[in-house]
Amino acid sequence: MSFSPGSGGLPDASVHAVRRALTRGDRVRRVPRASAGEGGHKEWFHYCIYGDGFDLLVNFSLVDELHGRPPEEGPRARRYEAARLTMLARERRWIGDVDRWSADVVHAPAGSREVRLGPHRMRWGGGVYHLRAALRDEPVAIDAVLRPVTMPSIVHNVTVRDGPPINWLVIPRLLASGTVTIDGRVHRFADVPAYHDHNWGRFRWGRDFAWEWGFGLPRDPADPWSFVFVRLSDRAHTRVMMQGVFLWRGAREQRVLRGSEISVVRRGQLRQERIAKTPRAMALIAPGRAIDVPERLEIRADTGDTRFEADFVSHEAAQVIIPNDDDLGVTIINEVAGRLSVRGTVRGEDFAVECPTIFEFLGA
Amino acid sequence: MDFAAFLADSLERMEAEIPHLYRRLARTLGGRRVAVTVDGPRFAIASDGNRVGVVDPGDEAGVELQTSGREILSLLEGETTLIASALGDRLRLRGSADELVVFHDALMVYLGAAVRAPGFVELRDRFRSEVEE
Repeated sequence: MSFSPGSGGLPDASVHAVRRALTRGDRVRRVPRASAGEGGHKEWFHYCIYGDGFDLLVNFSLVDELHGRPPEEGPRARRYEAARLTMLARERRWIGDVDRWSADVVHAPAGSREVRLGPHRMRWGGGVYHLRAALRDEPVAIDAVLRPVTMPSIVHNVTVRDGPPINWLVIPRLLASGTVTIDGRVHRFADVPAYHDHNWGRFRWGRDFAWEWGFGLPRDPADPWSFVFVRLSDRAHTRVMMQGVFLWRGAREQRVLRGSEISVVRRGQLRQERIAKTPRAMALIAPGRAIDVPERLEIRADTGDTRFEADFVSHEAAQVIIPNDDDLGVTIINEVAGRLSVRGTVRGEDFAVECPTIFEFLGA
Repeated sequence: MDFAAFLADSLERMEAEIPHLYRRLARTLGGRRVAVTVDGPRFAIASDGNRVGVVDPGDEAGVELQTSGREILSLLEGETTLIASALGDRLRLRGSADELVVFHDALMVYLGAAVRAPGFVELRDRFRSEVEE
């Protein structure tokens, strides 16, 4: 069967079905404190784009923070709302930043399919995501549309060890067209692979949880396979709370592997002379060069009807450093550019994917 | 905006925006005084255990800090580290080991507040504009 979303065809799910699913599912979930919400809500819209000669990560994040007093001191806790725009770009090495936006210039009402942070915007409409954003102090900008070519997968109420649950929506495969500017160089692209997820919940940074998250999508639009991997654990990686591999064939989810069906092995330790840290001032608080990222991550499953083998080899990490909510420590999100090799068999059909990708490793 | 003004404004914003860390900073410093020279006249950061602010330098200080506005910007931009600045003699710290440990603890509380308080971004930008002029 041919699969050529670049030419407009979706062989096993209609364009309308994908649009309907996203119009219903991919909307702003928060009830801001200003609208009688409880505060402490976290939510982000995350995009990765793979062009010829660049990788780009864009993250619109909404935060109804509780600050001033720890929340356990009750309703007198001083609260404010804020949002953050994170962009990381990589030609030969990572550059990027995290820009904070105050509540008066953030437009993201509950139920909306649009987030505006000052002049920057993410909007779902007409069957595409529109992204227009630029960093304040770093030469990174995007103006692009991303067209989903797979159905989303939505997972609610994923328990973390000692706090409220996390929810997410993920679309492993989109086609992006537009321009990205990195350090004055303009990259124009059409129908290059892209990825999107949307996470929300009231979890607290710094609690005893970590995640490993990755995806694979082939550069050839005629190749029908794409996949997402996720594992939630405690910070020491000694206790896994959930793990899963989600496989799409064409537009539809074809197979989900969970829990003990999967084995995951971390090998080695990624080492770098220099690590891009964002926001840059956080390097004062977290100056170290030790990275909680394996050199290689191996994911395996063999269930009888499905065999799955994925090897991610880490190349270069950039760190997004987030202050913890309840102590002076930090949580580090390692965004790791690397190479992914996937092969396997689902219900008698063999597949193999080799692609560049970004895996995310969250830890202390 | 010179560094003394930046520091005074940042402590005011810290008290308003992150009061529990402001109190923790004051407690950490205790009754100590840190003398600071950044490009211009010497001044001091002083705490009585409850409040902390910028004051005249006086004679006695447990810790003496000397550096430049450009070096502080390099630290804020992630271009260097505290250890590299000290080893390169671009940032000088003098005091007894005990006093320096307390100063380091206080600095970590101050930086922890700085990255959490929304008002610090504007202050940093004003300070940077002045240094780069």
